[in-house]
This record gives sequence, C-alpha cells and structure tokens, in this order.
Amino acid sequence: MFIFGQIQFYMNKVFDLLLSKNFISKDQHQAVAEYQKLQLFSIRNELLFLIYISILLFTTGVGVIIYKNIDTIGHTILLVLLAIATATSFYFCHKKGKGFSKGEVNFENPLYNYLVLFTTILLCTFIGYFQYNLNFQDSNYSLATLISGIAALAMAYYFDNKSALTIGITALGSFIGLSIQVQTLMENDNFDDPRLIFAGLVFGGLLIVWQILSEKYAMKTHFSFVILTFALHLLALSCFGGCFQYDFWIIYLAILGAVLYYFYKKSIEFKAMSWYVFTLIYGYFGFNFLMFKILDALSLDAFFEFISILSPFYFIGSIILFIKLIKDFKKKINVSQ
Amino acid sequence: MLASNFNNIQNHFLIEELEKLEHLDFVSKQQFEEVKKTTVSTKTNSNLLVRFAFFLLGNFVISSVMGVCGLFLTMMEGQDAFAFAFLLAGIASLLVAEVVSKKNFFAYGFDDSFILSITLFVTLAVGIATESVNAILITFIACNVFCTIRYVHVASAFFAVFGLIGWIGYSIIEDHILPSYYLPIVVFLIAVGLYFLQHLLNKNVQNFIYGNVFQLVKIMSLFLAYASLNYFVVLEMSELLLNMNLMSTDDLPFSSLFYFATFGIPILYIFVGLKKKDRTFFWMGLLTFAAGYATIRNYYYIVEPEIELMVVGLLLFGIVYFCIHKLQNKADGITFKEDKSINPMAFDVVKAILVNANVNTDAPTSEQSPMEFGGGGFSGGGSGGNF
Repeated sequence: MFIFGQIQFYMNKVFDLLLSKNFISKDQHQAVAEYQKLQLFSIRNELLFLIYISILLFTTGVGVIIYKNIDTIGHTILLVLLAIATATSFYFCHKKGKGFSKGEVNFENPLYNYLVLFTTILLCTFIGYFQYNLNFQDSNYSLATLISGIAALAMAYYFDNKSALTIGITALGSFIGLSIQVQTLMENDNFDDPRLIFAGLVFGGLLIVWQILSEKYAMKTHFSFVILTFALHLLALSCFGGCFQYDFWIIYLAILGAVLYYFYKKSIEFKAMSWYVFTLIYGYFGFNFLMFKILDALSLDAFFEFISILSPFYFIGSIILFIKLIKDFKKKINVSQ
Repeated sequence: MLASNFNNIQNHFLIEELEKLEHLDFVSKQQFEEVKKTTVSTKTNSNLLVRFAFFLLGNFVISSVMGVCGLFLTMMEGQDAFAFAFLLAGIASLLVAEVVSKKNFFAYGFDDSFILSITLFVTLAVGIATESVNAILITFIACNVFCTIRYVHVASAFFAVFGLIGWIGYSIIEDHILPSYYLPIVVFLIAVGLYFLQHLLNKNVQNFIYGNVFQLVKIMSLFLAYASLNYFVVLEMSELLLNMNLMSTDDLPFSSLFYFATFGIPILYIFVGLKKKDRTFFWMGLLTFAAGYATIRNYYYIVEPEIELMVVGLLLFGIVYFCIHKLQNKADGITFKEDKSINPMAFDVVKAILVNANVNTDAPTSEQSPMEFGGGGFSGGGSGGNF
C-alpha cells in the first residue's frame, strides 16, 4: 500500500519549507509535527452531510407514497399518522433543545439540527394536507403556505436553525406568489408579470426591514446573512425584470441603484465578499443597460464603427476599475477590523 | 520555465498553508497577519466568484478586440489567411499572458482567459491549416501542457487530460490502432499512469506550487479509472461509439471485469481513503459508490422508487448514525471531532441550496389537479434515486 498517498510525509516537507522561510518558529514547527503524528482524519462534515441526504431521501419517499395512495389509505389515517410523527419529532427537539434565546444556541449533538429540519418539513406537509383534507378547496390555498411559512419561521427562531429559516422565507415568498427557488430563478420565468415584480420589490424591502428590526432588538443577528442574501438577489432580479419588460425602466434602474448602494454599504459592514461581488455584477449589468438605452435613444448609427473600436478600451477600463474596487474592498475590511 | 516569479507563487501557497495552521490555533492571528503583510506574494483572487467574474471580463476584452480586428480584416481571403490570423491571435494572447504574469497577477481571473485563448487560437490555426484531427488533438494537448507548466494553470491541466483521452479514443475508434474493445482497458491504464505520474512529481517538494494541478490530475485519474470500467459507461459507449449492438450484456468482452469494477473500485477508494487518511480518495469513493448504485438501478428494477427512497434513506441514516456513535469519543485517527482547517462553509452552502431546491412549499393554484395538496409537497424532481 506504499504507493497510495503519503500525505503525512509530504505535509511535513511543506512545514519544513514554512520553517525555512521563517513563517513559523521552531517551537511551532515542533508542535505541528507532533499534531501530524496523531494522524487525525475528521469525517464529521461528510457524515453530517450524508445524514442530511438520508433525511431528504426519506421525506421525498414518504411524500411520493402519500401522493400516490391518497385515495386508498384514507385521509384521516394519514393525517393522524402525520400528526403523530410531527408531534414525536417535535417532542424530541423540544426535550433536547435549550429553549429560546435571542443569541445563538446549539444543540449538544449536531444531529438534532437535522431533526429540527425533519420536523419542519413534516409540519409544513401536515399543515398543507390538513387544509386540503378539511375541504377548504374553495378557500384560498395560499393560506396554508402562509401558515407553513410562519410555522417554519417559528421553528427556525426557537431552535436556531438556518435550514428552517430558508424554508420559511421561501414559503412566505410563495404566499405572495413568488417562486424563489433556485431552479425558477435560473429559468427566470418569475418576473414577467408586473404584479410579481412589485411583489418581489415589496418582499425584498420587507426582508431588509426584518433584518434591521432583528438587529435593533438583537434578535438572532446571525440570521442576517441569510435574510439579506435573499433580499439582495430578489430585489436585483425584480428590478432587472422590470427594466426588460416595461416602459418605466428608468424607475426600476433608480431602485436598483438605491438597492445596490445599500448592499455596497452592508457588504463592507458584514465583510461579505459574495454580496460585494454580486453588487458589482448587478451594477455593471445595470450600467451597461443604461448605456445601451442611451445609445439606442441617440440612434448613433453613423458612429457604429467608432463605438465598436472603442469597445475593447471600455472592457479593459472596466477590468482596471474592478481591480481597483476589489482592492478597495479588501482595504476597507482590514480597516474595519 | 515559469512566466512569473517562482518565489511569489510559492509564498502565495505557503500563506494558504499558514492560514490552515492559523485555523488550527498553531499560529496566532497576529503572526499570520504579520507574515501576510511582510511577504511579497502574487495578486490572486482566492474567491472563485470574483475570479469567474474577471474571467468573463477578460473574455469580453478578447471578443471585442476580435470584433474590431474583424472590421479591418474583411478583405482577407483564403484558408491560409484565416489560419494565419488565428495564429497571430494566439501569439497576441501569449504576449498578453506573459505581460500579465510578469505583473504578478496569478489566478486573478482575466489572466485565465488569455492563457486559455492561447490554446484555443493556436489549435484553431492548426486545425484550419492541416484539417487533420490528430494534428488538432496533439496541438491541443501540447499547448495545454505548456500553459500548465509555464503559468501553473489548473484549468489547462484539465483540458490536457481531456484532450489526451480524446486523442486515445480517436486513435482507437477511427484509426484502429488497437481492437476497439480494448478501449476501456487502455483508458484505465492511462488513468493509472496519470495517477502515478502526479504521485511521483508530487513527492518533490520543489513542485509544491503545482499542488493544485496534481490534485486535479489525481481527481481526474480516479474518476477516469472508475468511469472506464463502469458497466453502464462501457455498455453505452460501446453502442454509441463502436456501433456494437449488444442485445445481451454477456456479449461484451470482459463483462465480468466490468461487473466487478462497478462496485469493487468504489470500495477500494473508500478503503484507501480511510486507511491512508486521504480525503480525495474518500470523496471519490462515496461519489463513485453512488454512481455504482445508480448503474445497478438502471439495469435491475427491484422495488418501487418511493419505497426504495425510504429504505435507502433509512439505511443510510442507520449506517451513519452507527458510525457517529462509534466515533464520537475518539481523539486520534479517524474521528468525528471538528477539523478546523477545513472550511465547513462549503457544506453549508450546498445544504442551503438543497433545501431551497427540494423542499417545495408552493401552493397548487390550479383546480385541474384535485389530487394535489397544498403546501409541503415534495418536488422530488431534484433528487433521483442516486443514493
């Protein structure tokens, strides 16, 4: 087996290199070498990830079975079974949970985070199914989505679970008609309806307000990142939807500008590189869109060749600008440290 | 050999190693910051998103320059002139790549687009001039190897391996240098050869800066070694490429070998990964095991998919729960303790996306399908029975 990876051996050489460059002291080198001898190999993340997948597989299977056998099993039995399963999971979550706290709480055993996720999914299923079963067909279906969203958020806040938070925000989004799942955002068939664009803007704005309020009352401030990430992408994509569809493009561009400025500030505050980059990308798209509209309005057909000759310089200029902006960002982060 | 300064690149990777040590609390934060500030290193974007954005911008530059040149070159005629124009474009990309590297940009994003376009344009020029597939593939491989070595460029290494496999496949299928049913065996041998090549080169600490290239070649060779012997891949490829119409699976030469390899190789990978504490092997083992399962599922329909989902989910949960229980209090060797040098953020992101994509809380709005139920439906579209 000698032929397969000699990682320890190789890493020791790297640490020698670090020592020879005086990046680490002799004592540190000694300590690292001792640590290497333990041959630690943590498969924690892998195992937790597999647990996660197993839960998704199992719940998907249950969902399909219920869906297929809805006429034969009988609604009441299913409902009762679901209720029992939900209640049992909830009981165990509650028993092991440390109760509500405004700050960050963790279960002693990380597996319970997954139980919370499982409970949340079951709970949402139960609520939706309950409404269907009690024959509220005439009533507004989206009521179930609203209640699911609120329930998921309650779970998220009580047990401090970010996955549940994701479900909650997605459900609230669907309540107002938005499908903010990754797949639909990719296909971008969300924003061809003016009402939806408006809903997206309002929902995005509410998310920002939500984050500000949680910051103010120091309520689960570590959720801010998730909430604001949803807000940034939802707002920006809604604005683009508006720009491409309707005559009021200039209003949407103005809103986009304001949103991006807000997130520019926020990304420096949170030291969030991903927000900063997306702010730049969305901003660049918006700017190019504006340029295109202006050129289109001026109808400079005669200068067409001239403009295409200029275009390489425009792109080289934008590269230089972006390099500067990234440098600037790194500097600002370091200062605020 | 190198376009940019060897020391700077080495420092860049050493600082990355130092950061891992900092996460493990061997090195204090001040010491790390101090080293980072005082050491001359490359200008690099370690954030992949930023790097990709710059890559796109670099491509815009290249395409707009091409557009401008095209305006002036409309009077050009003939194949050779085209080949010459592409050769010039390749040389221009080479010059830009050299300048950018000299300016100490390394893996910044826009340098990638110039390095890749060297290969693209030179290969195009050779292709137009010779119209020979062999010449194209050899140029492609040679250019990529050159870029990998000179610019320490990982993406070029990927394309080089890709081109090599393509060339071997072409030689066997079209040029018939060997009976075509040897193709899987030959690819497997090449994968093993690539693995040992990177392994030998990796032993020399002088090649430390090529660590990422070796890592990529390792992943690719492990993947190729599996894919070349996977039953499904071999069967489909035989039908697709070799026009062997196989009615019965037993017609396939060496079929028992492929049966064995479909599960034997993943288990070997996982075993080696755990034994040698090699994360690459471990991960490839898990992935190829899933692929092996999917292969079997493709040929043998055992139970209804939903029952299977539940059983596999439960089984997986049980096995992992058992492992966690066993490992919970172990402090050396294989453990369940957190390894702080690994960034778990990547897992968090994947989890968030999985939840977002798979848990569907949409309310059904149409009245045509009364069988649907509102809220908490399971899309299931994203997760097939792959596990």
